[in-house]
Order: sequence, then C-alpha cells, then structure tokens
Amino acid sequence: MGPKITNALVFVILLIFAVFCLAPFFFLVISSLRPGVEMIRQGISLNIDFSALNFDNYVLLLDGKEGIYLSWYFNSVVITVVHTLLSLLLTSMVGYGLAMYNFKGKNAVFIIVLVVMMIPVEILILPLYELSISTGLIDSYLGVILPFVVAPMSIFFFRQYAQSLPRELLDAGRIDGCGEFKIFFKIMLPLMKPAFGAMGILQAMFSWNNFVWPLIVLRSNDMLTLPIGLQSLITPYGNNYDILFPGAVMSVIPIIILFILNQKAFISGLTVGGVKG
Amino acid sequence: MASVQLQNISKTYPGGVEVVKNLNLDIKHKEFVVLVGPSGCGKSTTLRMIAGLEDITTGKLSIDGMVVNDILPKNRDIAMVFQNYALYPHMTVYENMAFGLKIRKLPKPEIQRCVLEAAYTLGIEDLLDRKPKALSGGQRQRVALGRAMVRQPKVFLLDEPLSNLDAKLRDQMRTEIRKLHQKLQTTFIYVTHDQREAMTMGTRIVVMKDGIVQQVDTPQQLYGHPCNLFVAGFLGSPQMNFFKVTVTQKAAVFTLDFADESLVLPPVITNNPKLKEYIGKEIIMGIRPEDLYDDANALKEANAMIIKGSVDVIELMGAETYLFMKIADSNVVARVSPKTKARTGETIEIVFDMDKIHLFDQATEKTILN
Repeated sequence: MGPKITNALVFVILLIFAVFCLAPFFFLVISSLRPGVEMIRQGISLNIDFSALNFDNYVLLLDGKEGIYLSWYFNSVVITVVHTLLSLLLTSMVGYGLAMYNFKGKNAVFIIVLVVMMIPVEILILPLYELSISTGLIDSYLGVILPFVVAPMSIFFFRQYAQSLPRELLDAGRIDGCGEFKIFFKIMLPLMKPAFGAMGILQAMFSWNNFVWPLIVLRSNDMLTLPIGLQSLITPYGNNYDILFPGAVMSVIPIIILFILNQKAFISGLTVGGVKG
Repeated sequence: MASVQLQNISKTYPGGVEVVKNLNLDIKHKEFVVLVGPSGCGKSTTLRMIAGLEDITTGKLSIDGMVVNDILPKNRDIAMVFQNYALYPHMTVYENMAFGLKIRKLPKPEIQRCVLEAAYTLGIEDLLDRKPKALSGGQRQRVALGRAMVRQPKVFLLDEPLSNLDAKLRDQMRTEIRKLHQKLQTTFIYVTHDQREAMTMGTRIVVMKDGIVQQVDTPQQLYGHPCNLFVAGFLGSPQMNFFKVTVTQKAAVFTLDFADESLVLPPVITNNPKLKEYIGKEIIMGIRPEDLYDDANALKEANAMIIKGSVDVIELMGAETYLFMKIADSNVVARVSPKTKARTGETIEIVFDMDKIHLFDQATEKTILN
C-alpha cells in the first residue's frame, strides 16, 4: 500500500471519528435553537428546518426565573476560577518540591500522594461532608472548592514534569541571588507552562463539570452550580427543553474557549517526556 | 582583595560516602587556580562548597578572611559558570545577564550599563535580544560568562565550562577565559577533568584523586616534579611511561634493571641519598614520551641509554609523531619528530634521556627523588 493510499485511509478513519465526536454537539446546538416541543415531537432528527431556527430559547434562558441561570453560571465561573488557580498554585509547588528538594520523608510523602490518588471519591464523601458541617462550609463556595483543591493527580503530574527541569537552573538562581520562592516563581514556573496548560484545562474541566460534591454541599437555589442547576430542570413531570438545551450549549463554551487558548500548552504538556529534547 | 581559604574541609554525603577529605588550600587574590582530577575525585563538590551550593560537613571556608560556611550563595559575592551553562531558557540574553542585578534591585540605567559593558567585552552585543535556544554552544558559553561578569564578583567559579564545546571552540574559549582573567584581575577557580586545560590555564593547579589533594603547584613544577605516580600519570598527553625496575649497585655504578635490560643512573640521581634505601628493591621508573628518542645520535650526553623496542603503531600528529612500542613486555609511547624513519613492525633503538627519569616507591607510589 502506497503512502498516499495510507494517508487517505487514515484521513477517512479520522473523519469518521470526528463526525462521531462532533455529532452530539451539532444536535445540541440545533436543538437549542428549536422550540422544546419539537424535541418532544421529533426527538433528534436529521430533518432540520433551518428557517425555523431562532434564539428565543436563549432569551428565555437569560430572562426566565429571575435570571437564576446567570446566577448558576456566575457560581460555576467563580468556583472554577478559584479552584483552578488555587489548585495549580498549591499542587505545582508540592510537585516541584518533591522533584527538586531532598528532605526526610520525601518518599513517604510521595507514596501518600499515590495512595490518595487511588482512593475513590465516593469513599471520601461522607467524612468530607461531616468535616464541612463541623467547619461551617456547607452551602458556600469554599465548601465546594477546598476539599478537592489539592489534587494528588495534579501533584503527581507536576512532580513528573519538574523532574525534567535542569537542576543547574536552581543553582544558577541561588547564585544570582534568588530565594527558593523567587526561583520557583521567576525561573521554574515559566518553564513549567506546558504543565500548567495541561493541568489548568483538566482542573477547570473537573471543577466546571463537578456534580456530586456540589450537589451534597450546596443547598440554596441561588448558590447552585450549572450542572446541578440544569439537572434541576429535569423533573419526573417533564423536561424543560427550552432552557435545558441552550443552557447546556452555554455551559460548554468556557471549556471550549479555555481549550482553544491553551491547546498548544495542553498538548505539549501531555506529551512531555515522550521525545528526547 | 579576594582570597579563598579552605581549612580541613571535608564533605560526607548521607550514607557515609566521603567525597572530599580534609582539604587544605590557600588561594590568593587574582590567582587562577585549576582543580583537576578524574571523574568522582571531588573537584566539583569542592567548587560547589565554595559557591555555597553544598553544605560543608567539617572544616572552615573563608573568603577574604571571613568565614562563610553558613552564608547563603547570594551573599558570598561569587559568580559561577556551569557546565551546561544554566541559562534561563525563557529569558533573552539581555534578561539572562541582567537577572542577577535585577534581583539585587540595582537601578535600570546601571543594569543596562553593566550588561552592555560585559556584552561588548565578550563580543555578544548583537545577541542581546536572542533566546538561548537561538545561540550556538560558543555563544551560550559567552553569555554564561557575561552573566557572571556583570555582577563584578570577588571570585569567579567555573565548573567545566568548556566540556560541551567542540575541540576548536574549546581552544578558542580557553584563550578568551585567560584574557578575561587578565582583564578582570580577580580570583578564578576553575574545575576541569582535562589536564591540558589545567596546564594551559592555571597559575596553580590542584590535582585531586578520591577526594584527596595530591599536589598543589604551578603547571611547570607539577609536570617536571610530580609528587606521586598518580600526578605523573595524570598530567601529560600521551601519559608518562612506567617500568617496574630493580635498583642495583655494582661498585660506584647504580643501575635500574628490568627484563634483560639495564639502565645506568646518572650522578644527578645517584647523588640522592634516598636511593640507597632502595638497593635490591623493586621500584617504578617513569619517563615522559618526549624524553625518548628514536635516533641513536639524538643525545650526545653520556647519560643517554639505548634499548631496543618493536614499533606496534605509528600515529602522525602533524608537528610530531607518536611511536607506540613494546619494550621488554611494557607498552611504551615515544613522542618523536615527524621525520622519523621508524616503520610499523620494525625493531628500533630507543634512547632514554636518563636525566629526565622519575622514580617512585612501589608501595607508597610517592616520588623517591624530590
């Protein structure tokens, strides 16, 4: 088989995969532009009347129920931004420390990180809930953010990445007059950009889509995050598709923007170490 | 003034591995001291202890008379050039050179003046906007030197800075570093495993092995009067030839016997009273390749001894030729004229300049003659 035929075959296979991946998004967007009753009548249909598509559902979403959707959106944005920034800051420092410094108990700490990584979230929920009650964090942003802010997977990732950084830079920084924090923030952090890109997207996606823990810890309707808010629109008495679809479309926009902005760093972060530099 | 004193310095890593043992060294202001030795001899560790990048297990380190054992690297007024340059990849050449000054919060115009001055001295003023990845090895090396220079430190520490360069560039940079030392008139401490670098650059050389200083002296003294077998073998390329010989006395004549050969010792050596202690004992004789001649008439002096050797390999080096030979089961190399008539496989007469031989105690490996 010649290289041209191979390339064509690979292209066709990838195209099929792309169609499979994009089809749900396509139908989601189309459904958000049609009246909800159409969905109930026709379901997901390839028979689309493009002239009947309009933005009425989006207007309803933003205006309806006293703008509660915007409150959920705001809550999700605040929680995601704070959670992601805090998580990146803390886990990168821990990972960097484990990679760069020698101290007593270093291996024990790393083993603990690995063990925590293997514990299912479901096991932690009950003790975390009791802890949240005793510390008064129920129904608050901090209650959602704090329990998962130091992600062991992220520590592990940053540690692996930092191990590839030249230790001589650490020495050069010390000779140049930096303290350890300055070395981290001024020299090492810029070199860890790909790792931050990759982990930033993963942490943001985790926080944005997090459902179980916010469902447990948040109580007031105006404190809910998007996934819980949208879920509340699905009821045994009928689903409010007019709001559900545009709500879902708008909820994926931040993640898509984040990925587009960070795509280069994300991919190089995930592939680091695969090729000798 | 920038003198450095190391008094009884030792370094032991966790687990009990002692890499530097009781090191004493007094480096004077404006000296260019080279620490040389094979890998693992403790030379880089010593340099890192001077820099403050390694803790000192025992002993006292002083810079300009002030004990600095517990002083952070940034407060020691030293600069260091690393083996892999350690340039910050995300910064331009200018930012790399200015970084140390910025951290010390110098005013911007002052930083600019220092960086431009250093860049001009090193001929890198056109590279200031480039990132390290866009530089060649030699240019990176210059930037690393520039980064050290801008700080105008009391002491320059250089850790094998030329080991990543190709041979031609290494020769060029070697000269540049020596010029820089003359220009800056400050103390340089240079680490290398390359004896040629050590011999050509240092005003004094410290030869180390297994964490112990073997000899500290000028290059000429070290080459001409090595204190032990290790120093004799380490300095010089090709290295010194060694023979196991027995000291024999017949009336007033002293000879060194090995296999069926016998070399008569000249008065300059037999006058040494220590030699008498070794009569009848086996010792090690060393002779440098340039003190062997392939022409029987090369030396007119009576102290020349002729021995036959078979030529295994001839290496033409341009200005000189190396003859690799076998003399009484010993492998020997001679540095001779490129006009040599010797041919591979031939047995030729080799002249030993007996005035230039070195004798070592077989047990202690220390020199007998000095």
